[in-house]
Amino acid sequence: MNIELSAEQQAFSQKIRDYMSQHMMTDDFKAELACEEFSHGGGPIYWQKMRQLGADGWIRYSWPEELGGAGADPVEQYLLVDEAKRAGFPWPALSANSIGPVFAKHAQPEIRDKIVGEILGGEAYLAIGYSEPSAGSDLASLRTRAERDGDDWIINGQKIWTSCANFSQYIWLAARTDPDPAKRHKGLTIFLVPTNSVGYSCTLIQTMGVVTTTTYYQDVRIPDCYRVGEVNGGWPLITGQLNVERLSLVSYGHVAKLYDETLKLLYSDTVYRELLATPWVQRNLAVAKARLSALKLMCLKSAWKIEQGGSGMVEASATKVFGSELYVELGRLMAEILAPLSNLRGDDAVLNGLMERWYRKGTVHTFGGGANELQRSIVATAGLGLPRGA
Amino acid sequence: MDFNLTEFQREILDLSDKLLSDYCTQARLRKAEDLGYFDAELWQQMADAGLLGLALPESVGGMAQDFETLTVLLEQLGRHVAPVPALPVLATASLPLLPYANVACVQAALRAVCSGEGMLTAALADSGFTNSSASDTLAENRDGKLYLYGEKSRVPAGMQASACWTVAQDGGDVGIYLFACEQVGVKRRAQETTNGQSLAHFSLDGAQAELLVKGADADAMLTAARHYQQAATAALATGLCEGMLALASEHCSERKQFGRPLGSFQAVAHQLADCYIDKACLRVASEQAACQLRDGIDAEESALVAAYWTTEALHRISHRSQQVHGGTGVDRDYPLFRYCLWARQLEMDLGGQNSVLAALGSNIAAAHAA
Repeated sequence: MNIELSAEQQAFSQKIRDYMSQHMMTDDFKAELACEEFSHGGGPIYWQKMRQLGADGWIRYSWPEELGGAGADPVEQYLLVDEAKRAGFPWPALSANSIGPVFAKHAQPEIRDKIVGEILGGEAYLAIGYSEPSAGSDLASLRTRAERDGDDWIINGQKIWTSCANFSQYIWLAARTDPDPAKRHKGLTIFLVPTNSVGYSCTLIQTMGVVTTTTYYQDVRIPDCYRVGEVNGGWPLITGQLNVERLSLVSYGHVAKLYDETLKLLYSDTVYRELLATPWVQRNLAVAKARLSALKLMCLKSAWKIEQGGSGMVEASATKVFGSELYVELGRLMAEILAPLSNLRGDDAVLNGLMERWYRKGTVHTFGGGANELQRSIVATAGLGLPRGA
Repeated sequence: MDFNLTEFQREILDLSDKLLSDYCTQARLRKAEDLGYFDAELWQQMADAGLLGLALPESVGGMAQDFETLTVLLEQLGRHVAPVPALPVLATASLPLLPYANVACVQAALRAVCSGEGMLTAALADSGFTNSSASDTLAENRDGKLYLYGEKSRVPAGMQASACWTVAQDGGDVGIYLFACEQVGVKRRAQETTNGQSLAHFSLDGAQAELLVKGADADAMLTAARHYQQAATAALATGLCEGMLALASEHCSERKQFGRPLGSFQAVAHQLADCYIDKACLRVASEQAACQLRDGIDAEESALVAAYWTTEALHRISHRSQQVHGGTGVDRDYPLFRYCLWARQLEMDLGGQNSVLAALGSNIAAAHAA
């Protein structure tokens, strides 16, 4: 057994770290990301960076070779996202990891090459249109419907929490194409809806942490070539998202950032010397360290399992629950150390606002990307062999 | 990065699993409970199979395998709640002596461990509550021979041990001393503890001993003993947690209430999912400490992290396993209680979670100076 990354893997991480700091996280881009409006991306510098990321081959890096990618293994794929997120880059996970390759595999030839080119070139992004006001975790209950009209489909409905739709060129949309309630899972189809379609609109939702959107579809007419996969065959495309992507939601570098930055601050300034010598402060740091160490190893081990040919489903679900709850816990452990300064915003904020934002942005991790309750059920049934619940 | 066991390690796993499946039956374990939870026949079988010398050098009859391979055996011992003192004897007491394996008295003690003819332990606690290595035991030199005077408490496997090493002072100089347990200067009495294993109180009243190391080398040996104890406990605990979770999962799949298996209720299933996550964290922490100790990397942090997860997982998994079993879990005719008593024993043997966190936190704060 060897728990260390290989020399090649370490060099790869370092290469990405250097690339991110030298080419991506430039001062002008950091300033743009600091604006609430562009905090997820979508600003002019964001698009420059996306095109550069695409031109440098990083969006295609994790795609399979037969789909035009570089075929990176799951461990490299994880390390790439980990370093990007550690750097604070709004990593285009949907293009690079989850939806992009699925689209390339199942898209119809009339649109495939053009849109794949846009995605891999960093010219287009896509948002996921799954959740609806009355369909969240129970996705199969969604009501947005698509009806056949000659060679076209007419789409009507509403999606919510469609993150990044405000600057995306396409919505990866799940719609009901068979209204028979007995076929809840089987009556869904995936469409790629261009956001410049007539009848499409988008409004912002200001949450306590991030900006997201509601998207509306009123008699949106799209040609059949924008249907992805079989009619009524959408469910496997929805649930078949790669487990390594779930891991990336709670990647170590992403979660450890607050601990790393807090510790750097405590070490750097003599003002904090007294805090560092305080037993309960040391205890908070120790709890964070011990739990982060496990997260780092759990992420890498899960990615390794997938690389070895396992599905990694249970490992990814367990890691997602642990990592997302640790994210929230860390936000408390670290903020306690600097409290009440931890709540200051604007020019007086500590750690450039990272600590203050952490709480406002953090809770989404425990229900986003598959609610932790669902992940726990996966661990219980697939990991422990317990019978399924009612 | 490779989390696979080597082929040899898998053989050790299979061999120990098979041996322990034969010996750790409910009937035999019940019998061992009357004997200080020690099965002498099993211990001798382990010696005969080469398992006691697994991580000891060939010069004393061992198989010269690394510490990581020993953790494979330790996990199986935990999985079967085996009634043997492998953790204190094979890890905490024996491994720190390896750099001195060619010293005659050490060589003899380790040779006896391998063959099963003797048992080596370490007495690391004085009377009273202190768990630290600071010791009031005194070493006196008379006519070129060394004699120890002091009280040692909670010596693991102390009633079975043939040799023991401990910490003593000689005019302010801290040293590590090895002594034979069968001699007039050593009086032993059994101490009972929660998991049923017998410990011993040693009254050293002129126990003739040999000095192994002094000063910085003595400190290094004590640090090594602590690292081995923490990492080996994590491995044993991983096996205990696997065992508890297997029992809980089986029980909740079979037992029905309100017409449904217990495990189909989310409130039950999610508690066990949390146990699975705790166990997964403990396992990786244990693997990290084992690999670092094997490779001779400074394992101070990884051993403390492993100790943290040991206390966390043992406490949480044992209580939740009991909870989902209801009365069945506490019944002495059902195997779960032994795992839980061992869980409590190991958790507190490490000094408890807050002492582990205090050590880890003070290291983090001190790293600033470095």
